[in-house]
Formats: sequence, structure tokens, C-alpha cells
Amino acid sequence: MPAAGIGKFHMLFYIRLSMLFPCSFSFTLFFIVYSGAPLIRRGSTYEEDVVVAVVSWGNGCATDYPGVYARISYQYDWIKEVVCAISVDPPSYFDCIIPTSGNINNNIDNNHNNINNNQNHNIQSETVEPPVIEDHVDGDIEDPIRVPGGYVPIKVEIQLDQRSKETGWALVANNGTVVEEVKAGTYTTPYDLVEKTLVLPASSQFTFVITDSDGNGICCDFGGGWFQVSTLLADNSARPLVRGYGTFLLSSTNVFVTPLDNTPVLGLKGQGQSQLEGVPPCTTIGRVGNSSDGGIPGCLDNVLEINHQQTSSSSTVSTRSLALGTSLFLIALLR
Amino acid sequence: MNQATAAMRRIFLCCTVLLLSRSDAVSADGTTTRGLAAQRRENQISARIVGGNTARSGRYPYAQISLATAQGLHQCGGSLIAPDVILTAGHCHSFFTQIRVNIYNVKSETESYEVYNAQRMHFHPLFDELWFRYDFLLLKLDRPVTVIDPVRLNDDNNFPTIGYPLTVVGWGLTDPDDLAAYPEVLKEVEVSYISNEMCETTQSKGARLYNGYIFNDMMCAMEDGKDACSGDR
Repeated sequence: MPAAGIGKFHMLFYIRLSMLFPCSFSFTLFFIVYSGAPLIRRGSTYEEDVVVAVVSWGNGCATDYPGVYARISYQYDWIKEVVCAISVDPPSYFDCIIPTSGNINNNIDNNHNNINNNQNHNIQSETVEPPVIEDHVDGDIEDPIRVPGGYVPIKVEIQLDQRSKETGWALVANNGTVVEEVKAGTYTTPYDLVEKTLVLPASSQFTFVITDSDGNGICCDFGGGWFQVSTLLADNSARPLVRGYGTFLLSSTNVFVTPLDNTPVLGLKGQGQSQLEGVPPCTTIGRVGNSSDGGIPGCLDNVLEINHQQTSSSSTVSTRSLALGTSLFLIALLR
Repeated sequence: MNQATAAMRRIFLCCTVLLLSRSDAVSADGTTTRGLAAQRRENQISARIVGGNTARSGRYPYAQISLATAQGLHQCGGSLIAPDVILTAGHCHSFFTQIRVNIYNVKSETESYEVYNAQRMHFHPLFDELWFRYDFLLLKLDRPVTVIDPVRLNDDNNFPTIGYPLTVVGWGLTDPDDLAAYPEVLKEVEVSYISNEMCETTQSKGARLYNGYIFNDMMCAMEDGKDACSGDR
């Protein structure tokens, strides 16, 4: 009979704990439903009670082992900071000071997680159609810094979920060359917002593939992740080419075309600029893209150059798709 | 050639891991209950202790919070620390879909309570689910709670002192052999604070299972006069 009181994820948690302490499966029995509950210092009334810790884990399988709790006092400042930032009416004893800068809020925003799973799954926008790149008219944009040799800066941003180590991505040129690859296991900080700026040939088609090694995407069971690939504007803001919620399973494949070389919006300021140094000039203008539509003019050879410079990976797309296909097959089989 | 071998190895590993995790999951679903129950008996887990004593309704209003599944199954407890913020454990993050506030009997169908949703989850930036480090989660509610008052938090690093009596308030399991047997009404369990050093070096049957797993962001407490498992003896 299935355990009626315990959800699927509690069971996974349970299994993980029993792997950590391989004594018994019945490891966290005491704590499994007490989890999250407060450990308090009792006062004479509830107004005098003080929460000291949060029930976290414990060994239920052998005798004599204490319960383990998450200690509040050392993390009090963090709790206070968050409560002051998010609560509409923080209790006076938190001594909240009205924030003078947006720093706290920004940090919190980076960590945002909409936990209404159903709602997120209903959005069903695995990939948002990249916006049409219209001919830009010089307007309020300052004189852009141009990238020599027909290149455009492209920024990849990924809001990771709690299981950051499962996320990987690759940027593949239309000829199959892997321009950049970040393998699963690289990102070790949960909920991190990771960024990478690449310099790519203008007017070229690329494929951005984001993967989750466990097949659960980057949203929503372990946090609300998303990804975005954008071109950088002169004011260092980003115009998205590819955007998606993390609701994919094993991978999400997104095709985009880098903006035209003469698009005046392209420029780069600040930290990304250093990446432009040492980029070889575009010597060969080739045609990349589908042969059916005639392709788009692009700087094919330099993709290879960038490849050598920026990634030591020699994985090919075919190996990746083979592995991916096999995993999908295995998962289908095991279900 | 090298690449192909590496890919094959990866596929094999992936396959093994998947198979292993599937077989675990099957056990987890309870299809091999007999084996697990036997294992539990071997470990002599007592059904008596885990439940604690019944807490009086209204004595711990800030703890009368149940993070529950859509079907209303209690999954985790929590405490109200601001009108619209609940503190719970980080690892509870994906177990629930609704937050029931001012609830006392989590099994009664006639129980009255208020249902809230979490607008956002704020994990501790160092939360590590594998090692249970910084196991904190703050839930921002969709609207402020008015029926119960928030509770204060301890900001004193020198508290508690060793042996200090503390109380766990929640809906713990009453029968470890039956995972569905958590109690109906809120329970309280008296425990005493012990140092992290004592906790880490706890020895039982010649083993120190906690050795290397207790960090500063954690603290430990033992049940008064008995351990968490030995009530039957």
C-alpha cells in the first residue's frame, strides 16, 4: 500500500537521507512529518515563545541519535533582511529600516521562485518566439560601440534552479560547430543567475540548447528557472533573441539569428568589452543557414576560431544527440 | 574512438543510475512494504515516542501551520514569523501546494482553517539539499494572516545552553511502521539542547553516524530522559 501521508518528493528526500546514512530506510521517520516545524523556547504564553530552530533531519534508524535542526541565531540577519524586504507589515522587533537602495530587492528577485507549480506548467511557454529583428532607427540609443569585423556580442543568461548541477547548455553554429559548451556539473551554486557573454558573427544562425541531466528542466519543482539569449545594446541592456521558462524536460532547443552587422543597436560597454579583444577579424564571409532558404551571410570560419579560443570541448553535436536520444529512450523504457 | 568510449561509459552510468533510482522509487512507493517493515522492526523503532503529547489548541498559534498537498495531506510544518511570511525547512520546498493556517486537526474533514498560497519562496543562499545545510525556507504568502500573531526568532548566539529544555511543535508520526499514521492534532515534544560536538560524536552500537555531518548552521537536541527511538525498551 502506498504511503498515503507522504508525497513523492518526501520519498526522494527520504531515499537521499538513507543513502547518506546507509543504516536503514526508516531513517527519518521522526522528522519526516515534523520537518519545518519550530523548535521553541517556551515562554509562559505564546507571546513569550521564541523559535530557536527549524526541524531539519535526524536519524530514526538507530538508537541514541539526537534530532538535527537548522539553527536560527546564526542566520538571523539573513531572515531579517528577507522579511524586511518582502513583508508588507514586518513585526516591529525586526527593526526593519526602509531600504534606501534596491539592493535587497534585487537579490531577492534573483532568487525568485513561483511555487505554484500548476500555474507555471499551464503557461506552457517552453520557448518564447524570438522577437523580429526590425531595422533599427537610431533613436534614443547612444552612439554604440561597434564590434570590429562583423561580430555581435550575445549574452546568455540562465536562472538556475535548486539543482544547478543538472543544468548545462551549448551554443552550436549552423554547421554543427560547438561554439560554447557548459557541461552539467559546472554550476554548483543553487539558484544562481549565471551569465556569459560571447562574441559571435553577425547575421548568423545559431542553436542554443539547454539541458537538464535529470530530465526535470529548471522549473518548477526545484525553483523557477528560466533562460534568455540576447544581444547587447549600447546602454548595456539586453534585447532577447531567445527566451524560455525552464519547463522543458531533458533539453530545449532554440534557433536564433544574430542581428545584422550594420544594426546600430549593437554595441558593448563595460565588462563584456574585454572579450572583444583578440577576436580575429572576419576573413571569410560564408553562407550559413538552411540551404532551402538560401542561407544567411555569415562569418563561418570565425566561429571555429571562437570555438578554439573559448572552449576546450571537442564534443560534437552527434555525440550529444546520441546521448540525449539514448537517455530519452531509457527514460521512456523505465516509465 | 576515445569520445565514443567516453560516451558509452556515460550512457552506461546514466543507465545504471536510472535503474538504481527506479528500484528505490519502487520501494518508496510501498510496493515492498513487507521487507521495509521487517527492517524497521529490526531497528526497534518505537511507535510511542514519536508522537509526543497533544498540544492545547491556541497554545502555539504561530505553529498551527500545515504545508499540505492539493489533497490536504500534511507534509511539513512551519512558523508564522511575519503576517505574510512563514519560516519552514528548505527541503520542504516541493512537497506542498497549499498552506493551511490556524489548523489544529490536520485530518478532520470538518476542521476550519484558512488556505494561503506561497507567492514566492526564498531559500537561504547557502541551502544545500544534499547535506541539509542552511535548511531554511521563507514563504511569502499571497496575503497577510490576521487570525494569528507571528512569533519571535532567537537572535542570541549564546542560546540555548547545554541541557536547556526546548519544545518541538508539529504533527509528527505516531507509528513509524505506517507512514500515513501522523497524528490528527498538534503535538509537542520536549527535548534538551546538546552541543554540536556532543551531537557529532554521538555513538551507538559502535558507530558514529553523525560524524562529519553536523555543521554550525545546525543544532541538535535529544528527547528528555530517553532517545528518539528507545521508548519500547
